[in-house]
Amino acid sequence: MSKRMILTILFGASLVMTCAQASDPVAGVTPHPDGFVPPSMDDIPDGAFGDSVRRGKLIFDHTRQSDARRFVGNQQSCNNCHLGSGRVAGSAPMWAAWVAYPAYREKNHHVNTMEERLRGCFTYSMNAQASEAGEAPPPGHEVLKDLQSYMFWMAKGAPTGDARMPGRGYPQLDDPPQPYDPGRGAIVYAQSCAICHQAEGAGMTVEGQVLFPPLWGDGAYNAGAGMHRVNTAAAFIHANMPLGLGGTLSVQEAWDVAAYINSKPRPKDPRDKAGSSTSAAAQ
Amino acid sequence: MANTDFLVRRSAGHWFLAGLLGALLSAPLAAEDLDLGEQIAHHGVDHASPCVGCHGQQGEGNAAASFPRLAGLPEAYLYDQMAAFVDGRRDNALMATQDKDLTEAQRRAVAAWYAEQPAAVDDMPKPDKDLMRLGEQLATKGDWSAGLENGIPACVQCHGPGGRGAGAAFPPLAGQPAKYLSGQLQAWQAGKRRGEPLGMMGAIAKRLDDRQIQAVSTWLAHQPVKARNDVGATREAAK
Repeated sequence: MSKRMILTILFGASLVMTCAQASDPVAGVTPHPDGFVPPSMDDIPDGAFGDSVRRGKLIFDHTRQSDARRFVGNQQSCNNCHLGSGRVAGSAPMWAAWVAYPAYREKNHHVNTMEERLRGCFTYSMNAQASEAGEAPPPGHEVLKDLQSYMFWMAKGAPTGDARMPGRGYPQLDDPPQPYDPGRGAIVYAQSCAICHQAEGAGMTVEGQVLFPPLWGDGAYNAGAGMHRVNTAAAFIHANMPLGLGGTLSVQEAWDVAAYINSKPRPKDPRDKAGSSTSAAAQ
Repeated sequence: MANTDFLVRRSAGHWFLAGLLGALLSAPLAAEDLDLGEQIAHHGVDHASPCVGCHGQQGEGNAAASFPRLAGLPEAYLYDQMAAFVDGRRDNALMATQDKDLTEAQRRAVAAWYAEQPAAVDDMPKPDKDLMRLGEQLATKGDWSAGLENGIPACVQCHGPGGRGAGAAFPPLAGQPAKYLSGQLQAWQAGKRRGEPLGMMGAIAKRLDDRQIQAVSTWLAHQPVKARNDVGATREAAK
């Protein structure tokens, strides 16, 4: 039995509905004692804190239509990379992230609070430099408070300080049998990704809503984003994509297509003062 | 699990062909093609009966009989479905008989004509409130409680806001007869409809139970086929 299958059995069955209204039990789903179960969306409390949680969820699900839109410089939304409103094991869930901060990060060589970590999402994944505000939400901004309220509420009962909660991040992906190859990845892309993200990676917007986010070009994450690391993208893709068909690409295909996507031009890493658009795939 | 790669490739190949056809179809159609399409839809041709007999005078469908709306659907999608009835990707003896003798030009004309028609909806029976609530939940949020590999993506994630469609690959579901939608989901479960991009609907349909199918079909059937306005669409997105 593969590691992924074990992970799925252990934690996949343990999540609750990502629902705002419905309380109908889901047939055949038994929460596993080892997997963390975030509280039901029905259980967001009334009052000022509950309102903040709800605003945070709105920002998370519809970043570009929410109070956070001034800080979004591309066509991405939090839940593009954290499926199911950030509640799903294996899709970098917020309940696992919440208890792992503050933490030292190699990325910037100092201890990051959750607020700083979230600002990093805006700076890189949402390319805030190109936004109306021109930068990530400043420290203490309501958007950051609401997102943290949502995460804090979701992590109720999770062990503070546990940076290895099962289901955190994307499942560890095996090394590819052969070195990854963007050329092979182009074929995988055409077969399995282009139907939604389109042949040129531009994604699709319908009625003013981004249905499928751009994967490269101006609307995509910038070259400093975690998703621009081939290993991160490969792990995300293998577990989460194509939507609803997670786990159907081979390990090799996931690496190859991640290398292909990240070989494409995208907004530059704002730390890169040289100023040219980066196209090299970072490892 | 290992063998699904093959399925993915094969269905992707199908889709690739359909996409090519779609690109060809996107060339502007002459008025006489639309006339031919209307002629066939209303009067039939050779062995093919008039389409309007089941699909309604304006292509609005027939909710009671579960015949789907054709009006306003993407041309490339309609064209591909006619091919699917004939080549067996969709299991429907009546439609196979209807479509098998149509020439490619005739199919193109019929698809083009229906795509041009304003989307109208047949009357629907009043829905059950609980069913609508569950249906809205599934259609707009999905259900990932069974984990990533068995999760149910929200219908609107691919079929567009309100299920109003997204390009030729993701046809509108809003306003289709509930019985048609549930019938299609059941067909996918049973392997009687296949060949769609990546085998997506087959995979997802098999994760739905009977009540979920009924709920999601009912909710989608009761959605307006056109966005009310931009503000409405944004508000809906923010729900």
